[in-house]
Amino acid sequence: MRILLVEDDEPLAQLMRSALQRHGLVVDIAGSLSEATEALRSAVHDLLVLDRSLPDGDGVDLIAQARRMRTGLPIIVLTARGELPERIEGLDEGADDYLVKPVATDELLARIRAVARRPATIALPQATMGELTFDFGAREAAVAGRMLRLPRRQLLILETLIYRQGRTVRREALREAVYGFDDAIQSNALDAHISKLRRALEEAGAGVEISVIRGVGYLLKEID
Amino acid sequence: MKSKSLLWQLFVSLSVVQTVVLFFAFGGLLYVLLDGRNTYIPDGVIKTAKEAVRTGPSGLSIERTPELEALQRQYPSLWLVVADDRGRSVGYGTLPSYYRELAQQLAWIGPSEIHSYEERSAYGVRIDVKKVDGQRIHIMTGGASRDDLGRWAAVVSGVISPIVSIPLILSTLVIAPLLIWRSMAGVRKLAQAAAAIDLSHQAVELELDTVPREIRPLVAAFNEAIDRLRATYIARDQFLRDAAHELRLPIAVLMARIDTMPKSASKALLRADVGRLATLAEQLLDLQRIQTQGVQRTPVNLCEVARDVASEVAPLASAQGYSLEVDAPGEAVWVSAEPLSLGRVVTNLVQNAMVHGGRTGTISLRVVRPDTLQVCDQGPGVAEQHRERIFEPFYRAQPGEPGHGLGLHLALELMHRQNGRITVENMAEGGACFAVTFEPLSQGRLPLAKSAGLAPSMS
Repeated sequence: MRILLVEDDEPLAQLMRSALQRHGLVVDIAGSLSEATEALRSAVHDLLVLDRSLPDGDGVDLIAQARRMRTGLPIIVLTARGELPERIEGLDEGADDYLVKPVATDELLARIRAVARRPATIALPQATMGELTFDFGAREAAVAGRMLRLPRRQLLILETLIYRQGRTVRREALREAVYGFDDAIQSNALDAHISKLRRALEEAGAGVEISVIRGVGYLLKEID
Repeated sequence: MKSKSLLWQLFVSLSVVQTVVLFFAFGGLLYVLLDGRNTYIPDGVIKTAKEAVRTGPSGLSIERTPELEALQRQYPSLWLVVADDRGRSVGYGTLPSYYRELAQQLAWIGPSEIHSYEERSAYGVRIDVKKVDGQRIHIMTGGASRDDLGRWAAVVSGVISPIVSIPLILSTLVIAPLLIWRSMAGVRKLAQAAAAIDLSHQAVELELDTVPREIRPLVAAFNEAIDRLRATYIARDQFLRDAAHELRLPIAVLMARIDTMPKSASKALLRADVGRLATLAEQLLDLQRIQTQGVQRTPVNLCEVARDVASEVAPLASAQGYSLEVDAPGEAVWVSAEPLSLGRVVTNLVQNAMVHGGRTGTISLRVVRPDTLQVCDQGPGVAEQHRERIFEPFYRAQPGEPGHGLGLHLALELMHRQNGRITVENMAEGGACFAVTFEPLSQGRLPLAKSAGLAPSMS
């Protein structure tokens, strides 16, 4: 997936590019509104990450124009301007998400995945945490390059957790992802699958573990 | 200084002025009219005479009533002539010869008075017409003159008597409030407008035309003051915007730089440090921000807030070695609060627990019916003597210990803004327990949709 990053702070733009590149994204940098407009003409980008305070204007003003040039282009505003009215303005203008700096790379990746119009398999085909790599296209997990064989339910749980890249997954959301809406299941069935998956990850030395946030949900975290 | 009602001041001063003016005006008028040296015959003489008159088919007579006799003792030379409308007349006492002619014409003379000079008081005569038993009776009397010093007193006392002054004061009582009420209508409208002033919105100015001219300088000065305040407000707002940008950008750069480093123990530490720096920067901005923003409370579900905040902070808490749990009832617990502020308060409490919880054990968020949310850790707790002071900015219980930064102070400020309370206690099993309590919602104000009132996610 190719991203247009509109950011006038050169060091930050370079650092973000190298961080995102390591997750398989191609990043082009535009330092101003005019450069961004120029870059959008090429119609090669799948997503726009947009700063607000740019040398030639407010990034939010680009949203409508970008949408005219590229129907359906997902747009994430990433800015230091985080007052509530500013957030509302950004979302009203049509941004898909509004993030306030500083944002960790993992968080940005999770947001990119969430707003990408293309299926995750194409947008960000892989996710890596610790020694664990997950291929969303093939729906396969691997630890240090070795394929990790898991039963279907456990694989679905792992996919849902790693898709969120270390952020919390609500219990209801996880149950929905694993069983769908129709399946009437006992809640402890989910717990049983999770504890089996946890053991499997530990035995494989995946470098990640599942944390339980009792009363809320689960998250996948790297072991220090 | 105690401010008195304008109405009261006007009423008192007007009443006093009216009484004094009346007193002198009437006094002066009478002085001119009476010339000050005449005698007169008092009303009492006429009254006594009238009561002594008896009418009958044969004619008039004068009875020697006790009052008449008493009057005669007072005025030895008292005389009376009474005539009816048919010209019949009767006398009492000695009529002076020089008035005999006049007395014969009495039935055709109306009320009148002949004043005399003091040294010749016998010349004083008073004629009055009264009804007795349905007949018109003319009474002429003399020899009962008094000097007018007494009359003076009577007149003056009549002027300041309640009969004259009370209606005047009453009319003041009615007219003054009416006038003031009407002229103050503009002021009341203005006060409403002033109460609605919100500096964060576009230019505000109070209208000059609605108030009496006397008050306009005050309103104009008020408008100028608002202008100055607004200028300060705008400058501060701009400063906050700039500061936010200038603070967040380098932290973002730092964070991105750390993210590109290969995995190591020091990378994890650096991330935690930058996280703390970012938190502090946000709290500084929050502290500035809450002083410029108004409070807008809506129904908020405490359970949802607890779960949202827990979701947000879980990765960080987990990375620092804590377990995190939410203990909330299945049904919603609605309170009246600012959703965003409430989220910040709870986030700050969890962050505080993460700094002081000893990097071990469980941090729990508990929702207690009907209006309380607790954040409890399993650290060393807060000693009794520090419980008030930890809410001060950057308070440090012991030198060398990590400080409480701004988080608790902010939580306290934010709670005060939404009429809530924040307290801290140590639990029996160890660890500190912060509790925030809000105004519960009355049943009627619950939102219709179950999903409404969720705290927006805080990122």
